[in-house]
Amino acid sequence: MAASPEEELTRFGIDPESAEHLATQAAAAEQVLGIHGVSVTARPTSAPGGRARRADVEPTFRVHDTPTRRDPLHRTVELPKPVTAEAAAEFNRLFGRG
Amino acid sequence: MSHLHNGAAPKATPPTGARRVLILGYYDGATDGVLEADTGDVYRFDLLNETHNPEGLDHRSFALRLLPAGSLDRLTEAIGPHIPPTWPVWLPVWRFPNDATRQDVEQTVDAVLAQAGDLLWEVRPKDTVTFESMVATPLDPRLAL
Repeated sequence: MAASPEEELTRFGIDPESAEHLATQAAAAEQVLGIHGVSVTARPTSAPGGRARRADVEPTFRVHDTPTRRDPLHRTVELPKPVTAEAAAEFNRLFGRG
Repeated sequence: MSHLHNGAAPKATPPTGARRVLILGYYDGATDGVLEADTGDVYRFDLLNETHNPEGLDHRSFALRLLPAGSLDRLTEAIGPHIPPTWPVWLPVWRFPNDATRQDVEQTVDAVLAQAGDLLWEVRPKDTVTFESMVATPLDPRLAL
């Protein structure tokens, strides 16, 4: 499914995430996807979460299309390695968390 | 494997880990898929519960339903020609050369998953990617004896 810079990305959950929390999840994704990053989805959802336009995220963090059988609109937001406190703060700001 | 649907007593050996994991749904860890347990049994797994873990991967539990022996190999034969397997953990990024191929593969995947039997176990893996170490609680009352 073709990605659009206008698509809205949802990061489930509403609390700010620490650098350590993001780093753990990024390491897990790197293990199976080869991308040091965290999950978001571009599918429309009413579940609680932070939302951001892909076009607003991409200047700071690369967004990869990583469709799965379950979610064809699964995306992975690539994070720096290591995940710094500054990177975590920017990620939280972009997704309106905290 | 006659205990999928016919009411016969299921195996009582709890799985404590996985040899191979095929992840079909992923969100900061597996959400569903198929695993080959250390007992040799093949299970469909689906997310059952999740609790936030501020210090690492969120804690998740999964429901296991037994699949016929050979199910994981059948899935590998369907998906593998298009997306190379990466055992022991394989998360296929769901891209195919064309829609017809994707639909063929999805038809096979759905057919295999539809063969899953009743809920047997709830498992809590330490790692929701590898399922290397997990604690199983019986969901089928016949397993609790």
